[in-house]
Amino acid sequence: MSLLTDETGKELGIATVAQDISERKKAEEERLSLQKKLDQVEKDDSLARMAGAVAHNFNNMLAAIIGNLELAMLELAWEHFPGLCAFVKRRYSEK
Amino acid sequence: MPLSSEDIVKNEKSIIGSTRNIELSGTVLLVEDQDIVRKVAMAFLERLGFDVMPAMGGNEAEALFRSNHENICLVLTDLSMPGMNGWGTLSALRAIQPDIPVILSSGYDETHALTGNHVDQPQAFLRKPYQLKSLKEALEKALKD
Repeated sequence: MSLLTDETGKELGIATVAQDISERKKAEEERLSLQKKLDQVEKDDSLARMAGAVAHNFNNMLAAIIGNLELAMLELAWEHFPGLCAFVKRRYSEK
Repeated sequence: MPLSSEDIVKNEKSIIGSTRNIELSGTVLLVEDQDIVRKVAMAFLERLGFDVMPAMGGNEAEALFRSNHENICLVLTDLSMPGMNGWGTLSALRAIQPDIPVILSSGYDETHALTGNHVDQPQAFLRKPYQLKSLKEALEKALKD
């Protein structure tokens, strides 16, 4: 807003400039909402990656545990462990 | 009624399988960086009738393969390893011998593990943890072609 005067300094009126910024406001809001969504996607993505890495480590440990267990079962002198035999048989038949 | 030792022998046959359409013998190059996993895989392979040449990583595998590839019938490699990973190893070995059968093994599931644009593809994928039976199936699949 500015005051308009003539060459002698006499006031003539006031000039104002107005601009409709509703579009800009809307765009800004949209940008913020998209940014928020992007942040969430990035958060989900890093969480998924972390879960994947944990699962990967677990599966490696499980490979060693289950593998050794299976080998032990194949090597075992079963006739010396009738109770264990019965247990394993029961568990297998449940499956 | 407890199992007799005879049952166990039968049980073992059903686990390992008694029909052998595909010859399960020869030398397997086993690439795995984790000691405990490599030891189990080695015992499995030996139990199935293979000789095993172990390597702790891609670079070691490449060197071993370069000097022994005439004697190696198949490669079983882990995917995630420090240094050269499973894909890098696969490409390096295929560069030496383009028709070498390869099984890629990983603790990641198949879709996750096999994503990406890889020119060289394995004959089979083996999800960890695996049992003797799945290993045998993967070996048969890989050696069939």
